[in-house]
Amino acid sequence: MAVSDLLQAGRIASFGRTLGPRRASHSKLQMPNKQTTNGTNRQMKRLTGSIAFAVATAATVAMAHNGAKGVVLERMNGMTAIRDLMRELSPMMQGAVPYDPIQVSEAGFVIASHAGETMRKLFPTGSLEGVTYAKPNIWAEWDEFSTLADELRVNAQALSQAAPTGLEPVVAAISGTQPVEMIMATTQGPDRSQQIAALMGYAAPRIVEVAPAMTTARPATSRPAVAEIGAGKIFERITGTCSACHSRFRKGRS
Amino acid sequence: MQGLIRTAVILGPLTASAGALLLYLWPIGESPPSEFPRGDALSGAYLARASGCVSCHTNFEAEGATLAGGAPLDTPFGVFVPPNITPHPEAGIGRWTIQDFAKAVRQGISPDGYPYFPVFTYSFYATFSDQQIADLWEAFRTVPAVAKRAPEHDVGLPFSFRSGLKLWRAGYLDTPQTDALMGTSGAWNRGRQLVEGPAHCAACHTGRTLAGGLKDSETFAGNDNLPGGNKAPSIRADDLTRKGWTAGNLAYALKLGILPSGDAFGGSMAEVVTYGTSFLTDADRTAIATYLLDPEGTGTATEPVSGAVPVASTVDHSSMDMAQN
Repeated sequence: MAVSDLLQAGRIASFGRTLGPRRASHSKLQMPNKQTTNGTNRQMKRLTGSIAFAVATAATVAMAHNGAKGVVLERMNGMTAIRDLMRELSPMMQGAVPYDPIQVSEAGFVIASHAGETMRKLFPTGSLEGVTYAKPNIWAEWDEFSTLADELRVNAQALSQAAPTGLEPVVAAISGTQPVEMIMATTQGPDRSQQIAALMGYAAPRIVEVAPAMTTARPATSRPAVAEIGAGKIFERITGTCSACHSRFRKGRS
Repeated sequence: MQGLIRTAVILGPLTASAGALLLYLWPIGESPPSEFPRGDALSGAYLARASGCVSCHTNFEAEGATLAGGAPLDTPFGVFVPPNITPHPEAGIGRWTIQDFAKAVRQGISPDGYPYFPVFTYSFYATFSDQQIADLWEAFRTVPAVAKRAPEHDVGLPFSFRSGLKLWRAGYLDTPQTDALMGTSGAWNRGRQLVEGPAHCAACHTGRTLAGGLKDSETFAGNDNLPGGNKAPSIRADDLTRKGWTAGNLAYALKLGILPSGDAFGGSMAEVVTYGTSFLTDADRTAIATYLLDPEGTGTATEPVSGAVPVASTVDHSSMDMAQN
């Protein structure tokens, strides 16, 4: 049954009801049946039918995010997009599915496009209307939030660049640009006292992560070539950024 | 009539005072061993991280120094501030002996003989061996001393009467079941040791009574009333399985804080991962997951429900509908 038929049968009201609380505005859609020819009448029905359909679609999408609209809806969609990409990347990073460098590269590019300034713009001051999982301290701690947004962009771009060389870091062939991991390896692994310091939490920020799989919300103290870190490690930095931001700035179940 | 009132007015407080005195005098705790083995600081540091010492007693958000005092915990009984446990002689525990340390960690009793508030999860550390205590001791000694005390707890009467906690202990203090079972795998046993012991998952994931004790009948069933308004979901084996968790993806989530849906843990659990489980070995995380999916040790972890993809249960997806998007 076409929407225009539903309209003709005067059933538009019930169509709106099946969607739930959000209703299309009927007053604009019910055109008075003036002295028109059959052809114009049909055209008019099609037009109103299309409008009704568009309104219904928008209503459905908005309802899917419980009535969120505007910038809140936009950023929910952005976060969902990042989430879906992370879902694709995770099994590759665990080695559970074959590594696809093109997919990883594209995912990194898209995630980066959602981060940084793009993300900042989606959080104008005090934008807490309706259902949102943002916490008010985003604006009280804007510097921290902003740094995390930038960190995500940098790491996602790095992932995109490192993707072609694979999960593991590449050893630099040119002398003088030895990756720090290599240097540490030649001196029999990370120092014991550094490991203790990292575990107890009083280690100074180092270029090489001694123990944890997660990063803290501080930018890297230096940026060795991304290929020398490897896509796997960069992915871990991204997850660290996600967690750091979510734990601080995203509400749990209310 | 007057005699009755006079009796009540005198006898009431007298009884209460007598009761308080009795509680004060009631001896608790056992003497720790006079000798401890030589400790290994690296093992101790790992255990300190796994037990939550570092994450609780350090205020990471305020960029506080290690073990110098943690972020305040807002509970129904008052606001508790994890104290400075650096080796400073005045502001920290610099004057403690290893016996004091052992009694505090395993029994929850201060060097003065007062019980600690159970917000300190000492009941989960009761089965630490003397070697583990020695290891922790050595690791704690490496931490730089910080000269500033942490703020005092903000607790009012009657909870501020410490000796009253002896009643609480009599009612609620249980020894954790961390022993190995003969018929189970090494990973399972290690998982049991961690989950029931230092990792103290039940402290958040088990419901509590009005008096703040853990409800044994609701072990791992979740808790909607955590400090700070957070909620902990159920981590019972059947609930985990129903939501699509496996040993593999649960261990991965404990490592990186990322769920199989691609979402990240929020709130307190993200902190647990960032400041705790991300520091464990892959084997230990797998052990924790193995145990949680089969806490009875039957050896047969049920298959996850096909199609179920774990999502961040700290977010109320019933209204947000992101999972179906």
